[in-house]
Amino acid sequence: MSKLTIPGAVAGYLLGAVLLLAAYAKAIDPHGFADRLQDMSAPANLAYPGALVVVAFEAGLGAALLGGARHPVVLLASTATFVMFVGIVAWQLARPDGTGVCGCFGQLFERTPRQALYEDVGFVALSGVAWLGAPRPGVLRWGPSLLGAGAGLALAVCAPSLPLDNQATALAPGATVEDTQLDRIVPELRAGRHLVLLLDRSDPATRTRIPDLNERLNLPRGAIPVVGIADDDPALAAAFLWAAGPAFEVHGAPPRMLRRLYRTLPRSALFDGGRVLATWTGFPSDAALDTLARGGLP
Amino acid sequence: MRGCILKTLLVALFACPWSAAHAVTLEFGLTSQFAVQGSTTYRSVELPPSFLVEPSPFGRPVLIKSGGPTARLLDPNRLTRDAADPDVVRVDTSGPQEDFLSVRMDGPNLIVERDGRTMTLKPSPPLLGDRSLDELIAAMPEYRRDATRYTPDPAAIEKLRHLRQPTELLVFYGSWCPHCAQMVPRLVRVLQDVQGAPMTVTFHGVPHDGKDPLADDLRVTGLPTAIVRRDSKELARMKDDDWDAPERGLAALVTSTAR
Repeated sequence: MSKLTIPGAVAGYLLGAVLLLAAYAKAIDPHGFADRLQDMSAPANLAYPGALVVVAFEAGLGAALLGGARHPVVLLASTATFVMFVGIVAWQLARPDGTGVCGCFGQLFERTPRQALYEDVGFVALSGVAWLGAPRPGVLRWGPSLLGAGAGLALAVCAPSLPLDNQATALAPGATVEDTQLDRIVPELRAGRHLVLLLDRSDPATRTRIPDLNERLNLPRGAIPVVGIADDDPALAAAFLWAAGPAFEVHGAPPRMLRRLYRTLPRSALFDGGRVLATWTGFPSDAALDTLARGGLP
Repeated sequence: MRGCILKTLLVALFACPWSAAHAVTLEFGLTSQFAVQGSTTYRSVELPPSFLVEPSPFGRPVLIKSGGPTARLLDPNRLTRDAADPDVVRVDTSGPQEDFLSVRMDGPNLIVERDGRTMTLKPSPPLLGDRSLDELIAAMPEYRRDATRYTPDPAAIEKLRHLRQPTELLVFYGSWCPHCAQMVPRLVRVLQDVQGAPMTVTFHGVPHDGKDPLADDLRVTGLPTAIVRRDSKELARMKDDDWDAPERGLAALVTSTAR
């Protein structure tokens, strides 16, 4: 066994772990990743299938590397993948609107394009190390790759119905209002207790539910201040105002900023002292709303 | 016994919600949110939002409530103008709720109809291009009203009053942008407080899609953004957290770039 085999093998395992983590981060919010692909000029009808393909590819490649496969085909694919990541991040950096975050790890690890560039260059170097002491081409074992790709695909398909919102988004218990960036839209969230409702103003069910929320929370003079946040489309804002009659302010936010905070809308969160205390998929339950209306904590 | 019944009836009469002693008054302020051709539109201070349109094609003021929505004609005697602020109107909404009009939504527009007459409330188009401070607050009454509610830091205002070099301020904003609606009135108040300082201010309205040649040329990436210039050369930019207290941000920029 060559002295170079050990660093090569370790680099292979590390790259496998990185790829599996990246696949997991994308798989728990495939629609969010599809939106990011659209931001990167992917056609709308291909974005979601494309997201599934990327998840399956990364999971399959990661599983192969973690399974110890150091076949030249696997190593070539992983080197090419990380070189492509570097290219994408460099392109993002060169764009005049300077994308704020890189989506390779979803919301699990947010990185600025500059941080992402340095890290991805590091991964390219690591993929170079993985070639050291690699065995000669032999039979490529497809088992781990197929298993990884299948698991990644299954997770991506099932994830929207799994309770993974807190993992998949930046709006999770313990997060600060600065982490969510909502302080830029509603500075009042930095202090006091607020119920934040992330809304889809085009959703008929949401429009129908608003009068009930107004009443249950005794708005606008209830015990808990309520803040609505939605896509800043002016036409939708007007239609929602007429139809729903919210007894709380609904602030518009840029869709790209809002997308970090949900997988499906509506989504709700309780902020206290500038920190997220609790989150709900959809609106809070009736029992939670009644407790909030009395000034209590659900 | 008869006395007791009479007493109970009198108590019930005075306690009932539609008695004159419990008149419900809604306060409305001039708004640019929705417009009706040939009319003035007011929005309620209270939530959920209600709108008052007067004059209306129906000959009487119209009160529109969101969340439904509903519209009804009002007796003009129910309207009281604020003596101190002509932009504020109070409406007595107590008493019988009658004279309802038919209402339908057409996308963002609300159409009110009766006897073949129609009134359409449309979201106001965005303000585009350059405006002076006076032109801005004439077009955006909400900015003027919210400016009165902001109290700037006196020390920073004093610093700005002592500005000696002529300074230009080019402010990019969106009349449709909720964040600008929070932040720009603060700057409006600051500018009103430092009137007389050698500062020329231009407000440049940007469309919702962000496609604006001047904003592109100057690489404006977020709204609102204020560019501080002297002799047409950019010295600094006020953006993000600077807007929390624009007088401090502006004083810091102007002081740090003073020659």
